[in-house]
Amino acid sequence: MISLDHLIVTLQRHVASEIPEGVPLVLPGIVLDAEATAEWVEFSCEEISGIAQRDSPAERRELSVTLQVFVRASTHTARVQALAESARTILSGRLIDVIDRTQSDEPVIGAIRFREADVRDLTRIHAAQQRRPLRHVVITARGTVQAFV
Amino acid sequence: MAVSQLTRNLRDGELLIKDGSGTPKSLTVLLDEGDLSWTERQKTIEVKDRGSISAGHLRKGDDESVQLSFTARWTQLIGKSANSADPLQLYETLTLASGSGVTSTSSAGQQETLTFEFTVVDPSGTASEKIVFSKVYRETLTMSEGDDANLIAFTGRSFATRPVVSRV
Repeated sequence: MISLDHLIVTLQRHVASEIPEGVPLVLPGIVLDAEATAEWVEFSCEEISGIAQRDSPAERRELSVTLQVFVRASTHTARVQALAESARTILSGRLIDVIDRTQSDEPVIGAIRFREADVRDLTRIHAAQQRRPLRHVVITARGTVQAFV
Repeated sequence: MAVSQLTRNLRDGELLIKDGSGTPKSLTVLLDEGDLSWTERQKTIEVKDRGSISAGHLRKGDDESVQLSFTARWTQLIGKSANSADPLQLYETLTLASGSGVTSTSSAGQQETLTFEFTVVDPSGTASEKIVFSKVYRETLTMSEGDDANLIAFTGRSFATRPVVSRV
């Protein structure tokens, strides 16, 4: 069985290792001064669901991961899409090994396999009238985590 | 007295396939969908007296073998038959593939068969049971693709009128 902390640490490390250089990654619990930042990505794993299955090994669960991309409006009008594309490729269709880093040999104890990611632009229409307009794109990917025997 | 009031469900089951080797090779079916199903039939000959049931009687008909089926998620189809150091996989076990070392539980010249042992654990720990299907021969093996998982679906028969159920 893969514990929740191994699972979340694996996901966070994976996203942190692939996020473009110089873009702040906000993990749950981290406070970012958004006033001083032109763009950033927020990570959350908001759902880990059970699947009806045997009690025997090779446990499987479904999970949902969201990356929220925020970019201040600028002359580069497609910057939010460019950053969202980088974020999308971090998850979409990817296979990620779950490694138990508490053990000295760091064994691979399972894998997360993501389906194709969904992208939604949640930029609010009146954002252009705000003092510092913000573009907001959400990438969501559902996947299956499988524990190895 | 060991009686359990708890209903069993798919979480309590485990399917083990054994072959006919001197020291039987066994394969626990991991990633199965928990949909094992079997049907025991009984044939009866109705003898009516000039169309009348009240004057008629019943005779036992031919024995019927047990029909069974299950579905499992598909990882790799072959293991030991490709590399002797690899563990047995479900497909090569069910097909008694060459190189897998899986042998039939029936004599030479007969249809190839295996033994299925289905264990249902009592959640309260009182009355777990093992259900053994002997001489299981394969009728169909269907491999199909899917969004969530590719699946292997087995249907076959156990050449017995019923499985042997015992307490474990």
